[in-house]
Order: sequence, then C-alpha cells, then structure tokens
Amino acid sequence: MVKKMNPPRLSRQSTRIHRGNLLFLLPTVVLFTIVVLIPFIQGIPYSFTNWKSIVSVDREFNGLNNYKYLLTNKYFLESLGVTFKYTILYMLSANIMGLILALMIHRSSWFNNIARTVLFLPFTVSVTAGAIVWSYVYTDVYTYLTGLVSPLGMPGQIVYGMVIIGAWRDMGYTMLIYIAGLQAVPQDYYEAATVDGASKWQQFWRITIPNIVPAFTTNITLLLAWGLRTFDLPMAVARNAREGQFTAVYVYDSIFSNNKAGLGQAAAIILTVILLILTQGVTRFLRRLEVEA
Amino acid sequence: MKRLSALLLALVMLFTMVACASDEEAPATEAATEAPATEATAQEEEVLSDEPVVIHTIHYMVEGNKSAGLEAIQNAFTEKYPNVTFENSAYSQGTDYFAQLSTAIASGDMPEIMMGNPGLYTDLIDGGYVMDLTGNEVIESLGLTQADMGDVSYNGKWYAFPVDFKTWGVYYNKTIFAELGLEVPTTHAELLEVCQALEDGGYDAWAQWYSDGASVDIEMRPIVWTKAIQNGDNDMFEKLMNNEAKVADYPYFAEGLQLWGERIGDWARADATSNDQSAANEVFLSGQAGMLYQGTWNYGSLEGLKSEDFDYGFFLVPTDDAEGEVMNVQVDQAFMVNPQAENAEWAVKFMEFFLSECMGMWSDYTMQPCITGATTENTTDFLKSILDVKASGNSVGYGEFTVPFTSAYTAAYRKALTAYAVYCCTGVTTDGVNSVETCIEYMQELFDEEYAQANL
Repeated sequence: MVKKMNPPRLSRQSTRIHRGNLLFLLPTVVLFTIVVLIPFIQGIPYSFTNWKSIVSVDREFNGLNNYKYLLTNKYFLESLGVTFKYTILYMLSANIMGLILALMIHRSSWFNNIARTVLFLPFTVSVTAGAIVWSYVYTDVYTYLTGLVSPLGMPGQIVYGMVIIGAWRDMGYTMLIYIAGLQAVPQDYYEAATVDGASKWQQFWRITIPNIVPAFTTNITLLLAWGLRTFDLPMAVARNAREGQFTAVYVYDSIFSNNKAGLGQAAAIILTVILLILTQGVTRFLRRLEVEA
Repeated sequence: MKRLSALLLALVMLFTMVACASDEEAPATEAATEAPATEATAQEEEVLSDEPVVIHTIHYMVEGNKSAGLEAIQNAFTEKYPNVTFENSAYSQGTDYFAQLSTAIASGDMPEIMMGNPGLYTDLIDGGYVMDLTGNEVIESLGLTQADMGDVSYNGKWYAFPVDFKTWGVYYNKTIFAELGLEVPTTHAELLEVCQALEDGGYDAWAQWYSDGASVDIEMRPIVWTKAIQNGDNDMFEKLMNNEAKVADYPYFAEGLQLWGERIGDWARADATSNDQSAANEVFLSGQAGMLYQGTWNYGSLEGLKSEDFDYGFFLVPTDDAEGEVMNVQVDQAFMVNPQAENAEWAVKFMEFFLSECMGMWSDYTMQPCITGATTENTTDFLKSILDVKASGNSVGYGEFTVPFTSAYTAAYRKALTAYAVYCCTGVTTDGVNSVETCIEYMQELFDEEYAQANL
C-alpha cells in the first residue's frame, strides 16, 4: 500500500520570496489583463456574428457560420499554409544562422564583442524599414548581378524572399541567446571529455547541444510565435501578392479593409488557438529534452 | 512557474492582434447629417464665435507637397480666424488609413475632417459619421460636372468637398525619343513600334511598378471605364458586386487585358513585378526606360525628383478608339466632414474657404489639376493641358458609374490583374492565370468569394 505523502511545505522565507516574485509580475499581469485579455474575451462573441464594419452597430448572431466558412475556405486555408511555410523556414534559418554565429564568436574578445553588436543591429531595425531596404537589395543588387527577377516579384519565391529578410533580422537575437547558453556550459565537461579522448565533433554533439537545449527552447518558442503572427513583413513587401496573404494579413483585411469584422474575428481566434497549441506543444517537447547543468 | 511564464508570454504576443478587433459598441449613430450651409443664421453666428477651436483632420496625403499644401491653407484660415487651429494625422492609404479612421470613430474619437471619396466609406455614411452636403452653396457655385459630383456622392447625396482630380497616361522621356527619332504614338500599333524601337536603341521600353495594385488597375481603365460608360453600362460595378452580372459579360475586361498584355510584350524589365511607384520613378528619371505609365498624382513627385535637364512629356495611352482618346477622370483629393465631431461647423467653414479661396494655392503646392480648373501664373503647361482636355468634355469620369467598387472588390480585382501582370512579365503562371481568359476566370472566382463572404 502506497503511503500518502504530504506536499512539501514552504518555509516562511520561501513564501515571502514567492510573494515578492508575484508582486513583480503583478503590473504586467494587470496591464495584460486590461489591455489584452479582457478585450480579447469581449471580442469572442463578435466571431459568432455577421458584423461588417467596426463603426456599425448592426450585427446578427450567425452561429458557427464564420468558423465553418473559414475552415472550408481555400483562401483562408492557403493563408494558413503560407504562414506555416514561412514560419518553419524562418524559424529554422534564423536559429541555424544564430547558432553558427554564436559558435563562432561566443568567446570574449574585442573582435567578437564588436561582431556581436554588428550582428545584433538588424534586430533593432523595424521590420518595415528592413523589408524596404531588402526590396532594394533584391532589385538593385540581386537583379542587377544575376539578371533574374527579384524574389519578391516572382511567384513561388516570395516566401523565400521574406524568409531571408526575417532571418537576417532575427538571427542576431537568437545568436545572443545561444551565446548566453554556450557561456553557461561548464568548461569542466570539455576538459574531462578532452582527457577521455573525445573529438571536437563529439564534444559538440554530446556536451554542447544537450546543455544549450534551454536556449533552443527560448529561441524556437519565440520565433514560432513571431513567425505565425507575422504581419508587417508581407504588408511591406508583398501586399498585393497571393503569397503575401498571411493569416494575420487575412485577419486585418477582413476586419478593416473588407468590412467583415465578424469573419475576421473568427479568423483571429482560429489563429490564436493554433498558436497556443503549437507553442505549448513545442515548449513541452523541448522542456523534456533539457538537462540539468 | 516556467511554464506559466512561457504561457503568459505567448498569450501577450498572440492575443494583442486578436484584441484589435474587439471593442465596445460603436457610439450611437443618430446624429443629424444635414448641410449647415443651408441652416439658420444662428448657427452661423455660433460658428463665428471666438472660442478656441481645434479642427482635427485625418488624411492619407503622405507626400510632402500635399501635406504642405494643406498646412499652408490651414495657416491662411488661422490667419483669418485666429481662434482656429488644426491638428493633422496622416496615414498610408494602402495599409492603415481606413483602419486608423474606423478605429478612431468606433472609439468615439471624432476627427472633424476625413479625407476620402464617399463611395468607399459607405459604412461611415450609413453610420451617420459623414455630413450630407447636398445643396451646399459653395460646392454648387463650382459648377462641377455630374461625373465629378458622382465621385463625392452616395445614394444621390453629396458627402464630400472635391478638391482636385486625377487621370493617367504615359510619361515619356523626350530626350530619348528625340535621340531615337520617335514620335508620340497615336495608335496602339505605333505604341508597340515605339516599345520595340526603344529596346533596339538600348533602352527599356517601360518603367513598371506592378508590385503596387494601383499600377495594374490604371492600366485597364482607359478601356474598361471608357467602353463601359460609352456603352451605357454605368451600373457595371454595381451588377458585378451584386452578382447580377459576371466579368465575362463585359467584353471590356478582355479587351483591356489584351491591349495591356501587348504593351508589356517582351519588353518587361526584370524588376517590373517587384518595383513600387518610387522605384519605377527612379528607373524612369535615371533614363533607363523611355516610358512610365502613371497617374497625374505622380507629377509632383517627378517634378521634385528630376534633374534640371530631364525633359519629359505625357500622352494618353492609345487604344484605337474610333472617337479618339478619351481621358479618364476621377476626383482625387476629397474631404468629408464628420457631423458628430465637436467642431463640425468650423470644419465646413474651412472647407468652403479651401474651395472658394485657395484652389490656386493648392494646385501650386501639389501640382495637381484642381477640380475647378483654377490656375495661377505658376501653373505648368502640363497641368494646363490636362485641364484643357477635361474642360473640352472629352473625358469619362468614374463618378458616372452608379457605384464604385468597394475596397474588397478593388483588392480582389487588383489581385487578378497582378497575376496577369506577373504572367506577362515573367511567363510564370500564378493562381492559374496564363491568359486573358484565365485571368477573367480568376477575377470572377475572387468576386464570387467576396460575394459569399458578404452574405455570411
């Protein structure tokens, strides 16, 4: 018979620390609740109406019509498809590039410090500004050198063109997270492995990678969410292209440009549910891979 | 705790977008929308009170010369009425103007003056946020055509002050034309010969900007608008949006696509489908391309950007119309007044001042042809020639259609045209479009989609 265990009791000091932590969270939680959570919950009922313009008070309950329509509509499903395609490619390329850069410059030296700053700079540039600069790079450099059409103007290549822009901008950010992870790996492990005759490659796979899984968790979760909610990049460089019709753009166009606020709200809720499921799933999976350093 | 934090972070990032669509109910829409110009004198006296007044204007004139022109006229008004000042908010029309305007109104933040052609803002009109200006004496005194007034009307009533108009055609590099011994083409066949001659002479025929939906739209208008009006299909857009007619029922679309495709020919530059308006301006002004198909709204930008020795002209694209080329006309800048705004009466007074006393100033600043035909000693020959054509009556106005395409239908139309442009420029089939017929099929498919959504 299994003896029932009492949960561990927190000491008075631990309780005080936990309360302090919660107090630090409070301003953010309050702001988030007022500015985001409550309006979001208030918005849910609109997704079950035929609400047209947001300046109109006329709307009628139409049940699940918006959801049924969207989940069987090829344009909405295409927008999800192009969003997933972009997200996966962007997440992979920004992480791979960030990891490679981090491995190259994670040790402290004056050159590496300058290189980190330079590589992080694109992240400080707004997406729109970066996108416009890249559209010139494509037409004035790429097209000039190769004679080929800019990827942003060529169907089938538009998403790849945007992935390059997104990865260029965010690889500096992932690089910093990876550098922090790499610097936290105890040097003893490498020294012991070297004594045991492990090659650099073996050390990378058996020591470095397992120990920086928390950095993977952070980077992958963040970039997954950023990728799925991408809006400003296609708005800036592919407004009129079918491949620029990301789900976030679909939501925006439905609500504002096309005066179908109820439909747009339903699309936004579908996107949010997908985002929550995916980010939670990926986070849980990666957490299981983490090892205690 | 870590999971909770991760979840919280994800929620913050993800919900923000959804939250934008939810809001409290829009304010009541019972306000009166009668024209103040015809109201009693007591109201007039109230308007002329010396209380400090701020007039909020929301517009999409992100070009420096236009916003400068507006500010100059506002300053002139403030000089006359020192208690009146202005606050302006400018947003890009293609991306966030309507979102900002509708969000502001839905949240009860009422701008006095709102830029736009009423036909595109019927929800605002139906909601009582746009003043009925029917019978306004100042507008009446302008003596505008029915087509001009159609652009600022909805259900037979006037809802905006029209300021200037736009048309479109071909800007051409006179120096290159002279160097190659080319004349301004007067037929479609001659235009194609000019394209080939430019190519043979080492220049690109066109500076194109098909990444912008407006570019593909204006390529079609000389045929679609002109022929539809000439054939009495003034309700074409209305029928297409009501699903009472199909695109294929109107041969003008096929004809427009055919001629446009021939103009693109084999002469498209590699950047044709990725260039926007400013990139195409650079191509044209740097002398790489001999021609630029553009609207008159771009004239001010070209004048501002060109070098001193850059010499260019303008002609209407030849369509082989038996009656000669007909100029398309559409009211460009127009301003609506919000009757629910605090200082709506002052806003009307300002707009009346604008139209009756400042049209010349507006034209000088913006280099746009005024709807009234106003000129000054600074008015260029280019603008005079545009004004002359309009005055001659050899034009077709968008306002002659019973209703304009809504934003949703315009976006759908432009998507189909862009797919056609991509095919003509690159040879790549996108969305199944690789001919005039498939483009029309795709266009109809997109219209059907809009119709289905509207009836959910």
